[in-house]
Amino acid sequence: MITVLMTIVACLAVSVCSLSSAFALWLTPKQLNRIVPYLVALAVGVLLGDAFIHLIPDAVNRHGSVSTICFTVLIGVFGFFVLEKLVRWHHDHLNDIKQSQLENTILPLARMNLIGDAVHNFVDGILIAGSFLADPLVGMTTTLAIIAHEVPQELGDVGALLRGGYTPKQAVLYNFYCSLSVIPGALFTILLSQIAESSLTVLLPIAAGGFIYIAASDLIPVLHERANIRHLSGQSASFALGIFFMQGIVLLEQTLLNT
Amino acid sequence: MVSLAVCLRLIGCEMLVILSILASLLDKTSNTRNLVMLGLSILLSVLCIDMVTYVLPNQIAGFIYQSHDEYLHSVVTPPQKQT
Repeated sequence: MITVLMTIVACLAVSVCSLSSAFALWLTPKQLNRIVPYLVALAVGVLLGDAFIHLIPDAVNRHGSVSTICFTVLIGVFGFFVLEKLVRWHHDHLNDIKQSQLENTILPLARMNLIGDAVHNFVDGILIAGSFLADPLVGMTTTLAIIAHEVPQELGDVGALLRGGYTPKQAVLYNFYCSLSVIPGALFTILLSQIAESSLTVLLPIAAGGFIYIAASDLIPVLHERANIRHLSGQSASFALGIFFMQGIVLLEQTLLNT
Repeated sequence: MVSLAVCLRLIGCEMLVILSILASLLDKTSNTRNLVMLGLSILLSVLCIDMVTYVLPNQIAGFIYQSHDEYLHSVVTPPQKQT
């Protein structure tokens, strides 16, 4: 019973951290317009860093077969492509019906980002509960590591949601709702620990595939919308910062788990 | 190992933070906000009652009787029923 409650405490702590993106509410629209391109670049760096430095190596460690993991990553990319086509089809269908709503519609990249984030948080829930079931101390260090990578990711995600057409309040709120998927992930593991443990070899690369797809097909084209020397240097720096941040967190995670 | 009561209090505090931030983000006219406010007030009442009836008396008793070995012994190991 204590393990279950400690897992819920950890999951809620992760969800509370996702509200760190609420800083966007204190900025004026002019300031937001200025920083959103850099936040999107940060999101690209963090998402690609998370996929290539964190999720795929973790999946390979668990499964062992690189070719199977790469194939599952591709399935993830393909799945998110089909999902985006469905979202766009629904979006275009709505536009046919009400042309007047065109200005208020949300870009598919925002919805794709929310779906990808929800899958990622579900996987985080499985990891938290799995580590608490193994040992409470490992559970606490895993939670700390997840919180450390969650904060920069949420900042980038809110940037992508703002670019996708959500208002700052909606972006923070929907981002928080997605972060709550960490709790079903944890409960799924607690109830069906063996199935959940084996499902990680599929869920981790699928989440990685989703992140690669969102970063490469939805967010990078947004970065190319404005081309001047200020954006080139600023966005490149934010992109690199995202990657280095994820690398730093992976090193921190290894240090925490080894102590 | 953390005790059951500490875990429940931590969950309560986290829920309190989440619900108060949610309440500030939601529209004032929405039904969801009313529901969140209701949850917030129930949670706050439960935490306050727990604080007043359990946490504070224990803290005060601990402060007053901290030098009494019998009290400390009874807190660490609850007395067993005599048969």
